[in-house]
Amino acid sequence: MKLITKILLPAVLFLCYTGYGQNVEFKASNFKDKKEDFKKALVHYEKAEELMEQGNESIYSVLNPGNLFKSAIIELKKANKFNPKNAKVNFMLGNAYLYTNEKYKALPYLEKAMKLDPEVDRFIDFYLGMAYQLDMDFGKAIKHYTKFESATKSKHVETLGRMLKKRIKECKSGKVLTATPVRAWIDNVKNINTKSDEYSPCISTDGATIVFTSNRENGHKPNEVGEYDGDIYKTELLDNGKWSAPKSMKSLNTTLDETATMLSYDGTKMLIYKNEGDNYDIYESLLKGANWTAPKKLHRGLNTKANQTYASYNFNDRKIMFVSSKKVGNSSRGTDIFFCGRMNGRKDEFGAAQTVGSTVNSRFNEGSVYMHPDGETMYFGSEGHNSMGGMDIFVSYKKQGSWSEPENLGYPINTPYDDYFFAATASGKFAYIASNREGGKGGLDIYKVTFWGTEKNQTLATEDYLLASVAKPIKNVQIENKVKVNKKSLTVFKGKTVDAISDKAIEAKITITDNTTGRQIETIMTNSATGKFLLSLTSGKNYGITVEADGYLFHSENFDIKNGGNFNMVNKIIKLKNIKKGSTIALRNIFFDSGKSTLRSESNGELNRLVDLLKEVPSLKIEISGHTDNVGSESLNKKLSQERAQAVVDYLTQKGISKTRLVAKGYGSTKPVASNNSSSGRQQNRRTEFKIL
Amino acid sequence: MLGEYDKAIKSLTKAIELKPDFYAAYNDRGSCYRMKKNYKQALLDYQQAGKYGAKHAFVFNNIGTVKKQLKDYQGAKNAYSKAISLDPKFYLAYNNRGAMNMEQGKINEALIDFNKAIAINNKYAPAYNNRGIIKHKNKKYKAAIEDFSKAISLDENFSEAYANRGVSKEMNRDLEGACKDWNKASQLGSENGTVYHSGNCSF
Repeated sequence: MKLITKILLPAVLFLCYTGYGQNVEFKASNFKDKKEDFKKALVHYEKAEELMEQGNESIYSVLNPGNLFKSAIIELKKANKFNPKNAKVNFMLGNAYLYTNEKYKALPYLEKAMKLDPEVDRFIDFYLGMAYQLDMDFGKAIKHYTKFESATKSKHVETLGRMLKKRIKECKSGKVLTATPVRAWIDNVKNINTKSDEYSPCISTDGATIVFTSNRENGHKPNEVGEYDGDIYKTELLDNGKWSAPKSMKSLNTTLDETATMLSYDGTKMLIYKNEGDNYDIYESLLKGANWTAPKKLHRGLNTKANQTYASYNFNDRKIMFVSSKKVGNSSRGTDIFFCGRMNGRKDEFGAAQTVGSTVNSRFNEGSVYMHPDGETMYFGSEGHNSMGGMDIFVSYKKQGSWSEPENLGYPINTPYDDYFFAATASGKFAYIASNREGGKGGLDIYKVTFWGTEKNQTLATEDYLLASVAKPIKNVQIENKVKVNKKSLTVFKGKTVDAISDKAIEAKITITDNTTGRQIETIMTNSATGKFLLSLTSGKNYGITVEADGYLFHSENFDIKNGGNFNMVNKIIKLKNIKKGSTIALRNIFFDSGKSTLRSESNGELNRLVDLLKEVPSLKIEISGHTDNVGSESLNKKLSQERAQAVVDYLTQKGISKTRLVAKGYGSTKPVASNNSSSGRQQNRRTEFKIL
Repeated sequence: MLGEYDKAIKSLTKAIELKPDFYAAYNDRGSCYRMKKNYKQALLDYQQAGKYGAKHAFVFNNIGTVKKQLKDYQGAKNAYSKAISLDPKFYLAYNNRGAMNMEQGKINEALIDFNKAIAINNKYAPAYNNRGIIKHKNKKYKAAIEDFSKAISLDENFSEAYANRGVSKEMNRDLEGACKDWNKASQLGSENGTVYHSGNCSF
């Protein structure tokens, strides 16, 4: 008995093993007792084969081949349920999943197909390479890609050769990038994601609003794979730090696919792309009061006959950056990033599209582009450069007029899956991306990226009794290497314009001027329903900001933003005053030489606006008053303030304003508006004002 | 301030001239040189103090510290060990030796030293701070925060413990708490606190 066991047991075990690994063909003879079920399963199998063939043929010719593969998966799952040991069905399932947004499901099917029949298909090693790459098992991926390359010397390899070379390069990049992960947290924004796709997150500069696109159920007719058309949704940050339930932005949505691609920095404009004809074009919607206007197709300078998709405003609204399949010269390079400048005096029209250059545009597809409000940082998606697979997010900086070599944002922001649609808050501390990585709720999901900044050291503490007679120990701290911290030099000025008396929101015009050059940088309108506005001011300039509204006295602000300063958020309610007797306005952009009454040239902008106001309202009589802080003797302060007020009056009379409408008065330090005990208070007290008489 | 140390050195030199085996004067003069960052001269004086005051553990503790400044880490560790052998309850020397072990990357030995310092004196804030750093290095951020908090509860002006706790809070995904700690550390004069707060807390 023992002898028999010894002989038979290995044989039984061997048979069990090969039994598990044996491919069960879709043949009637294999299912003699399940004839009817077999017939049904065979129909699914054959339908799937057909769809797979169409899908594989259309990978590079159809914009979204995923639907063919999704249809194939529906059929294959039914065939697989009937016969789970068929290598071809498992292979096709793996192959199909690799071209959907559920790529992570491919690996188990492909591994099983390989186990059942290593020769199931000549592409098994190629697809296993793809699946291992997605699983970040880059060593195995390279092994399978290399095996595929050396084993297959057919025409198919020649056509795939470039792609194969690229994928091996991606795996090598993946090894490097995952070995040195970046210091960032990546969190699925669970309360806005669903099992459908959520993508293209557009964040307001203050980080309080996200507009995104989703093909979730929307009451429209679903397509053949049960998916709905893409609609635009909005969510807002609540006081508890969570996002509100997303709401459909109904005035923007139709039964076509709409994709929101950029919310302007002040939240009053939106770029959208959709296909209303033969190709995708970029549209714009404006926030008027509480409503978004119907999207209007942008000028033909930007929308060419090619497909135009993802787009971004530039910080000063003079350009739009966008992704297009437009050809560059004679070469076909997939999609690239272009920009169009607005025409002077005709802001709705654009000049000819220009490429951002070959430093940024690779030989592969570029997708999604986002200009940070600092005006010099461009984030974009690309399948090229040192991508670790699929789309990765890159950053390039504008240096001396050129875009720098793109930098991969690194793992875990990027993965071998598709990671793109980067949009950041002004501080640069938080960003939002979309990714179809494993672990999401389904398809593309929106993720929040929190950057930790550079690694920070901690400090050891030691102690000694320095002196023999002193009982209290002396503490020493061991500060390790100093850590450099990158700072964003940017000021975000946000707030709202209201009537100073009634507190009601007023639609006002805000003009930003570079005081050094006198050049007008940007003009925006505050929201007519809420009075809200948001401006991004880059470093290295002295900004004059004026706020004007019909029937109100204008208001001015000054921001002197030095290079290398911190990120700063200023939130201010601007109270505009009716032009009525007794109203007093501070002129914050009038500057004098130190201790003198000589007007500096940077004051001309503000003075000229005052001239315009006096010309526009001929009945207006004003008192120009000079004020000082309380440093120095009061008699000298009074004299200086009188002379400065007179200098302003003299300027106005030189510009044609009658002397009879103007009074100059120096108050010295007698009318402070802030405490003289601090330097900022004293600065506020040193001012020029005018009062309606 | 340097002038004060020079005056003290003059007086202590006089004292040593009058009493050549005056270990306390050697020790104190060594400390004056140390404050003037003249570590070599400080070491010579501390060694004289050790010669004449061989029973005094604190002198060897000072020898250890000045050797550390001179980057003689093994020599420093030996001096702290000598201090411990002279006074097995000398928790400062355990803590200092632990810091030296950290410097040499001997984390387990450092942990034993910090634990010993705490076992001898459970109100000794620097040892909790230093043990917190080990826990942080081992990615046990919550436990690290507990140690830094204990150090702060024992010494409310312990600026570096605030800065260190901020670093652990950041890793524990409490950015708001981290920024509060760095701000407090900065107010108490911690350089790290100032740098971390200014670079990470505007959002």
